[in-house]
Formats: sequence, C-alpha cells, structure tokens
Amino acid sequence: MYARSRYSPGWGLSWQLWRRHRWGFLADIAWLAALALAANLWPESWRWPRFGQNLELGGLAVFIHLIAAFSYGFEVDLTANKRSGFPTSMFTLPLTTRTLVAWPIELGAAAMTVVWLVIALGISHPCGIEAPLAFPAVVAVAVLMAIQAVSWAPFEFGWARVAVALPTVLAVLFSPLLATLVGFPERLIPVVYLALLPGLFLAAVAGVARARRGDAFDWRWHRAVVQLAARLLPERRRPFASAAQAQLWFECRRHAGLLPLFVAMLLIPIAMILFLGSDRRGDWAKALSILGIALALPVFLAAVVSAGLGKHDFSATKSALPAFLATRPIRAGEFVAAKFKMAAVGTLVTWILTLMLPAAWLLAPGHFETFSKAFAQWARDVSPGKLAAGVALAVVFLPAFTWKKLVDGMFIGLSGRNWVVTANAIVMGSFLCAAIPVGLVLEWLPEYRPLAWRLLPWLVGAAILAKSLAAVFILRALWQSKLVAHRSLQKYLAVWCLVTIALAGSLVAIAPTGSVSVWAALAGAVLLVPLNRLTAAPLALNWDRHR
Amino acid sequence: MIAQNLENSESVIEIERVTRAFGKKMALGEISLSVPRGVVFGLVGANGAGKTTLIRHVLGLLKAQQGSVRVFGRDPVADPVGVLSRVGCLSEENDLPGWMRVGELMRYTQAFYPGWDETYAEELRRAFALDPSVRVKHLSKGQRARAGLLIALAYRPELLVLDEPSSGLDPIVRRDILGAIVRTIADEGRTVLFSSHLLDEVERVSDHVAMLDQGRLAFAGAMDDIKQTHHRLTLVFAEARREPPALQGVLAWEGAGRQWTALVSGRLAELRVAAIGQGAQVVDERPPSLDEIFVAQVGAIRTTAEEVS
Amino acid sequence: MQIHVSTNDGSPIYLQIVNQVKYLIAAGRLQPNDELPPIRVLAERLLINPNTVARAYRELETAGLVTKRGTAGTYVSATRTPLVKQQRLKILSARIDVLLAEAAQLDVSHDELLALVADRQRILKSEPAAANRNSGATSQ
Repeated sequence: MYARSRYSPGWGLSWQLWRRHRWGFLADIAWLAALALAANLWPESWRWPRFGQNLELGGLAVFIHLIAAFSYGFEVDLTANKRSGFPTSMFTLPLTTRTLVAWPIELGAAAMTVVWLVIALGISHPCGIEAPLAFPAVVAVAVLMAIQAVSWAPFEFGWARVAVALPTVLAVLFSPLLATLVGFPERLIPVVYLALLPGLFLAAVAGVARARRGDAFDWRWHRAVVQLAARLLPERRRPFASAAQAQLWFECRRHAGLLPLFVAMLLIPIAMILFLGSDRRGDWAKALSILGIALALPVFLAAVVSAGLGKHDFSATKSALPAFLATRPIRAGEFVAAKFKMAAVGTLVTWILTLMLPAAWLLAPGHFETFSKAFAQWARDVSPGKLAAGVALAVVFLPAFTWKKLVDGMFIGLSGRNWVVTANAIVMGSFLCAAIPVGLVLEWLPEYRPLAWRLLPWLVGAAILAKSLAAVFILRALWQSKLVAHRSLQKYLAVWCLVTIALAGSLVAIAPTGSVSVWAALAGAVLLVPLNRLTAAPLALNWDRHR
Repeated sequence: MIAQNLENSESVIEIERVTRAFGKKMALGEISLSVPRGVVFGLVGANGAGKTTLIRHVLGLLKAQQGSVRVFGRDPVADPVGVLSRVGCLSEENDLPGWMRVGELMRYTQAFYPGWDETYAEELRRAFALDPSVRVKHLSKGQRARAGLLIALAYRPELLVLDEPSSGLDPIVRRDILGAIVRTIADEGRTVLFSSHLLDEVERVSDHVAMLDQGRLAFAGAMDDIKQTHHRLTLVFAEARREPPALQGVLAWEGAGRQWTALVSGRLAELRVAAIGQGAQVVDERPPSLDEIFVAQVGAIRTTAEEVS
Repeated sequence: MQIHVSTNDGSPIYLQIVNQVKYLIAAGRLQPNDELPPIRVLAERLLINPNTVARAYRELETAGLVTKRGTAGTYVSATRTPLVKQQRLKILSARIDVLLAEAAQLDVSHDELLALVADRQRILKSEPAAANRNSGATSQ
C-alpha cells in the first residue's frame, strides 16, 4: 500500500502551466496594474474622448495571451498534420481524458473571469464606463473553450484547423443573434452562452480522446483533393540552366506563394464585408475606405512576413542555415538575389489577386457608372497629364513599395540568429508602441501639430544622415568581402540613383504645383528607395553561413 | 601529437593549429592535421570529442578562431564556391529539404555542379531503390541517408566528407555507405574524409586514422603504422598479483591473479625485456583491433589528465 | 571465391586475405590459372580499402602463389611450389593438435587413437558415403 500523495493531479497540471508561462503571466499582471493605475490616477484634463475604451482595449490584449497560454498554443505546432494541439507528452499520464481536459479549461475560465473583473472594476468603472460584471466574463470563457476545443481536436490536415477556428469563434460569439431570431428574450442572453459551455467542454474532451487514441479527423474526400492538387502542380522535369536558376526555383517553390496566401485569406472576409455590408448604394465613403484597406493590405502584410521570408524556410523554428543549403557552391550574393527575385514574383501574384477585389466591385451592377461620374467630377480640376502620370505612378509605386517592404526585413531572417529576429520584433514593437501615442496625440490635440511640422525636417535630415553613414560602412564591407560581384554592386548603385531621381521627379511633377519642393521630394525618395537593408543581406547570410 | 606533414601539393586538407571554443567549452584545442590526396582518412573519437566541429571547419561552416584551414589550398570560408564545388558531403543531421521530391532534389543539386554525371546518378538512384516522385519527408531514415549519399556522389567529387554517416542506420544502408567510400577511393586521386564511432568500419576502409579526445588529437597516422606499433601482450606471472606492474608504454591492463594482458604502444623487443625483468613470461602476442586501441588510448589520456590535474 | 574478413580479433585484414587465399589454393578450391577477382571488385564486395586488397595480392605474388599478368588480372600460379605442401601439412597439424587435446580430455590413450585412425581409414575406403555422412559435421 502506498501512501496517498498530498498533491492531486490538478496541482501538477496547474503548476506546469504556471511554470511554463510565469513570465507571461507576471507581465500580464504588471500590464493590468499599469492600466488600472492609469485609469485611476490619470488627470482628468489630459484624458481624450475614448480614454476608457482604449484602456479597456489594452486590457483585452491580456485575454489573447491567456487564450493562447491555456490552450497550450505555445507548446505545439498548430498547423502540424494529423496532430492534436494538446501536448502529446501528457497523454501517457495516468489521468482520464476528462481530467486532463478539465483542468486547463477550469484554470483558463477562472483566469479569464478574474482578469475581466479586474478590468471591469479597476479600469472601466473608474473611467465612468458601466461595464457589466458577469456577462462579458461568460462570453470570454465561451470563446476560450471554443478555441481550446478547436485547437485540441486532431485534424488530418493542419491548416484545416486554422480554417475552422475563425468560423467557430464567430459562431460562438454570434449565437445569441440566432437565439433572438428564434424569439429568445434579450435579458437571458448570458444564459445562451452558459448553455454553450457544456457542449464545448464535451467537444474538447471528444477531440482530445480521439487524439489520445491516435485517430484524427480525416476526411477521405479532402485527402483525395489534396493529392489531386499535388499531382496537378507542375513538377520540375527539365534540368536547370544555372545554379542561380535552381536557387530561384527553390525559393519560389517554398516562399513565393506565402504573401499571396496571407493576403487572400484576409481579402475574403474583407470582400464579404464589402459586398454584403454596404448594400446601400450611397455608402461610397465606407466602400472606398474598405477598398483602401484592401489595397493597403499587401504592403502591411509584406512588412509582417518579411523577416520570416529571410529565413531559409519560413516555417522553420531555427533560423540557422542548415548544412545542406550552407554547403551549396553558390555565392552569397546570388543566394540573396534569388530571394529578391522570388519576392518580386510573390508581389506580382499578390497584386493581381488584390486588384481583383476593386475590379469585382466595379463590375457590380451600377457601380461603374456612379464611380466614373464621381471620378470625373473629382478629376475636373486636375490636368489630364498629371492625372495619367499619377495613375501610372500609383500602378508602379504600389507593387514596388510592396516589394520593398517584403525584402526590407529579409536581412533579419538571413542572419540566422534567433536573437536577432527577436530583437527586431522588440524594436518594431516598441517603435509601434511609441508611434501610436504620438499619432493619437497629434490627432486629438491639434495644438501640437505645428511643433511636429517644425521638427519634421530635422528628423528627416537625421534619418538621411544615418542612412548615408550606414551605407558607407555596409558598402565598404560588401566590396571587400567579394560576396557580390563588383559589377553587380556597381549596377545596383547606378539603378538606385536612377530610381531615386525618377521618384523625386515624378513626385514633383504630379503634386499640385508648388506644394512639394524639390528638396523635400528628393529627401523623401532617398529615404524610400531601399539601399542598406538590401546590401546588408549578403553580409547577414555570410555571417550565418560561416559561424 | 602532430600528424605527419606532407607537401602542400599532396595534401587535400591542411589544418593547422585550429582552436575553437563555444563559450567556455573548448571544442578543439590546437589541432593540426593533414589529409593526403587519394586516401581514406578516418576520424574517430567519442561523442562530443570534436569530430563534427572539425568537419564543419573543413566545410567552411565554422570559422577557425585561431589557426587556419585549407582545402585544395583555399580557405573554405573565404572561397566557398571554389572549395565546395569540389566537395561532396553527407552529414548525420537530417537536413535535406523535406518538401522536395527525390527527382527534384537530384535536378536541383545537378545545377550546382558542372561535373554531375546523369547516367551515374540514375544508376545510383535505381541501385538505392529511390522513387523519384516521393517527397523526402516521406522517406525512411535509411532512404534519406541514401538520397543524401546519391547527391553527394553523383558529381564524382574530389573530396568526399562524411560526418558520422552510419549513425542510427540499419546494416544494409551502412553497407551502401561503405561501398560508396570504397568505390570513391578506387577512382584515382579522390579522397575521403569520414568520421565515425563505429571502429570496425573505420578499420576496414581507412588508410589513415586520427583520434580526437575532448578536443585534442590523441593520435594520428597511417593505419598500418598504428596497427604495427600497438601490441596486445599476455603475461603470466610467477605469483598472483593484485595490481599489474608499472611498465612503460602500457596503455591499458586487463586481467587478474597470475595472468595479465597489456595493450602496449612502443618497441616490442624492449617491452618483452622489461616484462621479463618484472618476473613475467610473455605467453601470447597479437595485434589489437582498432576498438581496443581506441579504448586503451582514451583511458590512458584520461589517466594522465587526472594525474596532471 | 569465398573470403570473409573480420576486424574482431585484430589481425590485419590483408593478412586474413592472404591466409584465406593460401588455404583455398591448398584445399584445391582455387585451381592453377584460376583468376582472382580484380582488386576493385574484391574491395567492393568485402567493403575494405582497395589498398588492402592490393597489398594482399602483392604478398601472394611475393610468395609465388599468384602471378599478375599486366593489366589482365591476377591468376593463380601454374607451378606448385613446395610452400603449398607445407601449407597443407600445417593445416593438418593444427587439426591433429585439436584431436590430441580432445583425446587427452576424453581419456583415450595414444595407441587407442592410432587404432581408431586406421579403423576410420578402412571404413572410408570401403564405404565412402557412410564416412561422408559421419564426417559431415567436422569437415570444413
């Protein structure tokens, strides 16, 4: 007979979760404390109109972290095929599936409730927002359980999980809508969410039980479709003409489709909102702003995936170059050139996809005539030459800018050091964290705008100085290292000069006469056209290849 | 101990006083080696001895913190294209891109090496039974090793570098790898450098052997020399002894009571005389296997290290 | 040509090949003017360094057992040297030593042993089939 341990399995599972995420939880607590302090102590005169809501939004970020932590999202690759999102190492514990599943759910639910209470009592109420205490907590728990159920279910095809997750969460969130349609009284909406919870729990248990048995949700027809698609995809049969071409094929096969895929995934809900949301004919402003978001999407996503595309493989956790690629007898310059060309291919495909949305919208009945009438009215004051040039510049500029954003961060991924990638993320994050308050200040406190305008030339000058200094160092290092053929480097510099001048010239030509000075245009062009990050790329690769 | 230094024109790899530390751990301490042309050079050592680190220096994947590495007379870090286009490598790490099909892998690799022989590649592919339309990630471990071997051999590189190629593989794949080594060396002027801790394989195919222990070179030389300078002597003493006698040149003792077996390195005649001087009779003398030499050498180094410290 | 090499007992591989070839010649399994496998083929088959095979062939050539005919190959010598007879006797001596040791263990006297040998010889001459069956376990 062995003595009963005084630690129940619940202790073990809770301790494991705490231990794994203790820094994250402490950061959450600190963040909430900071927000609460701000809510309580921020002077009334400095508060902007949506102060309370903004603080609440900051608090909601904690929810996202909690959801990720309690669904074991950090420990498992959610896109892996045939796997459950539940850590398989826990399957061999002597616990029933129900216990295994219940503990993270209960702990997560408790955490979400506590966090909501803190937000409601510490942030919303002091700011004067009458937030209910129970209802949002129940909704949050429902969303948590939905995400847990989806991520723990074993899917045959990993990406299906991602595709299923969004509709599931939306269904859970909007289930009361269905209930009200059926005639459910509005006061009892929290009851609807409460009713969902046992169902979600059982779904989670079923999924984990299935994974523990080794089954996966395999849909035979789905597998047949994937195999058919794989067979239809062209397989390279002819030998390559050169090493550079082979490396370009490698990059394109692996990475060219990523940006188009991400953009397409986001375009679908945007398209739905556009076509289903703005049914009323007169709502041009909303439609145009949605189209504007759609057109800005490639640029934004390109900046996000750029560093990842610099890695040898986007989905690899270790960014160090594997020996197979490091021992290819190819110059660093050619390797990097293949990545840049692949980025061009990806950008092209992305823009073709993106432009389909406005095209479809224009083709919708009635839109084109109204749009052309509005456009003609707006363009009355502008000379046709400038208009044509402006359109041409936009058509050339947007894809080029997307390409620039895509290749700008590649040198981070090429360095092969995880700490560089993390450091870059931190720098970008802190830059954003600094920029958002500045932006908010400028928007809501107009008295600071002239000050910002006066500071701008100094900032631009400092940026140009920094860029020039960096250029000198980097180009010298690149020239001496012989990673790139000298002629290629000279050609690139020549192209850079030409593009800068052309860009500056077009800016001056197109803008309404006199509003943009030549110097301003030139300064803007110098800062825009990429130099240092591209020339640093072969050096970064060399740094990774030879440690 | 420094290996025999040959003229530069004869050496394919010249490693001179290379030192490498990872943080505080010394991975290689002043290693000097020379790999002549046309030999099979075996690199042996325990796990963590520094074999992989040394091979990564040869391939240019690591920069020597001190000392120099020259392959075909060039620095693999400064001139990766010139060196690597003549080198074929296979590592124990499984880093072939999993998403590629075997056929695509062959065509991709072909573009980098002008000396690629398509008929030979096809012959190897059939001999290894690799289906060209299967993706690398769906191959078994042995098949992946064969695929890696195929793309390392197909362009008949002047230098074949294998880093623990047989680790974790079944005997049939190991035979394929050894066969590849033998066929490579049978061609004039081609060299093989391979590291392994399977000493019977090293003994079968190597002309030269170097042993690394904790970042230091324990011994290096021609296989024949090593086998000739080491002996396994069985001594029978007049009286039972609890401890073996102290004889110079003995690397390891084994036995009990009256019969003791010594693994010695040195001149045999002097050792016999010394043994008789200790009151023993030499009953048996035979050449030891590389395995026994290795274990004895490592033990001797550890003992001297302890004595020194 | 059945040759096996092993690295277990430490004896040099080339010596193992030499000894085995000598045995095969002595046992009559390799006849004069039979061709030995080319160096490269034997090396690939045994998975050993071709230099080792070359060394073994050189030793055999020095001992006069084989002759190298330019690039045509290596062949067993036509002339039988006295060494072969010596080898044969050596093989038998080894077996006789084993037999004598066993006889001593089994407490069979020297005279009894000789009588047994003569007896077996008679049976061998008269009934070769029966003798073969009985000696099948101990031959090779």
